[in-house]
Amino acid sequence: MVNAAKVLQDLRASAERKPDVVVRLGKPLVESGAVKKLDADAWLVYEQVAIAALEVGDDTLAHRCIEALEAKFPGSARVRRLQGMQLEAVGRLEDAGEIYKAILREDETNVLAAKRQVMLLRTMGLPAEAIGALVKYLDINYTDFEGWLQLADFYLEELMNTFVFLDQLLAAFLRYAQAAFCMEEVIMLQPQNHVFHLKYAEILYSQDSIGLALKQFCRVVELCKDHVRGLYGIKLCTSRLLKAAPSRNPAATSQEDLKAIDLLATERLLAVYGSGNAAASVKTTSAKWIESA
Amino acid sequence: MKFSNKAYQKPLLHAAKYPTTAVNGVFLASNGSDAVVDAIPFFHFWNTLTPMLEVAMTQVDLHCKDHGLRIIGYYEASDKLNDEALSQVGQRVASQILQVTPDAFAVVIKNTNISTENIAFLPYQFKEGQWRAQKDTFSGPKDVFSLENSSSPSLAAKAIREGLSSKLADFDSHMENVQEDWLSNKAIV
Repeated sequence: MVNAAKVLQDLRASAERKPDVVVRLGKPLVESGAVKKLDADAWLVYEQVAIAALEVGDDTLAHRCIEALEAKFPGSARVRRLQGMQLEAVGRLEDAGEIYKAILREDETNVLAAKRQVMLLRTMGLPAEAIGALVKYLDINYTDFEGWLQLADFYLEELMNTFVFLDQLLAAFLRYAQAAFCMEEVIMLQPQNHVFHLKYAEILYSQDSIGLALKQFCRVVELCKDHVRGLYGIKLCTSRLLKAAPSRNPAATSQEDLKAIDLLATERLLAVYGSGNAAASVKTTSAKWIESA
Repeated sequence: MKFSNKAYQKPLLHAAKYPTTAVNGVFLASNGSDAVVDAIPFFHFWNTLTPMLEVAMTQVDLHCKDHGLRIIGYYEASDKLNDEALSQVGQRVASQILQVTPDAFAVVIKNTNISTENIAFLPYQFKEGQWRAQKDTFSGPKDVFSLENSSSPSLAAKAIREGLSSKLADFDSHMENVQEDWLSNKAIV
């Protein structure tokens, strides 16, 4: 039991999303009542297990946890948000929305309710409203990099749906530009995380800003040595840029540098595939790709 | 289109491994046949961006050339439970396959059927200028879409219950760790 509580605590601290593990460990604690021996941590475990139970569809377990929390903290906004999530889980989306609205009426800075409302609007199939609500949220909580990351994803999803209205290329360019802007905010807040540079690079590439994408892919490899995805990105960019006519823009990477970067990326990729125990089929295919790109 | 057990099972294990995100990949057929013999899982991080899709598609093409196979279809599963529409990304990828392969098709995974005895594939075909869901399929061996092994759905459900999905590798996870065998996924077949 002590071990289960420890694992649950670690999962809370790392914010990993492993609802199946949380339910497997937490369910016996809640059902046997052993959870109450954890003192102050008990309520955190109840909340954690409640959310995980909703995610894996164990509504009875979720109900049990939320009831215990409601008895201890009647009327608390944090518990009411769980009740809202419970309604979401059974498909009563509008009732859930009412709960979040009520919480926000009392306290418009309630982060949990504001976030739930954004995702609820998305689930209801109202992407424009979800974007509006998230932008409003970021106006207040502009240092929440996860919020910016979510906004970037919304724009990328939206990208795919706006084509009917505007000239296709223009619309696509605008959405990519908006998603790229969000990623710039994320990177400003979290400059050392290579995954964010990677996503930014891939957005730039999708937007056809190959020169800028190359610089970001290089940044990924700089922050994370021999990052395979970053190296693939570099190869894509260098081969596109080397095939195109040399740019007259003095800020652009020179042809000599492009060739050098391309060679280096090829070397590193072959080294990574050579050193790891990559399966034979994967090895042959990737080697062919690396040498042909 | 007759799906082998492997071609039916891999997409479902892919969706089961990443229940909170959208996943996608492609189907392979033998040259000169419409028997769908395999599936290759692509992504679960994000599927709205193009660079790694380019890499994945060219690598699968190379893999196909070595094994006498061809890309014949596309699959995806939405992160939303009840969403069975072919996404715009999916339509674009499927249309690209269609340019090379006139009998190309797409499949959206019915998330609610994943761990059940019911068939979890909703096929789409390009007809009259758009991708249309083919609702009344899998009715028997003579149907345009059918299963080689009629017990594939229960075998897939059993594999998911036994946690086999954790052993599946897609291109996203392969790039994190090159030991992951995304092209053949030998560990699960």
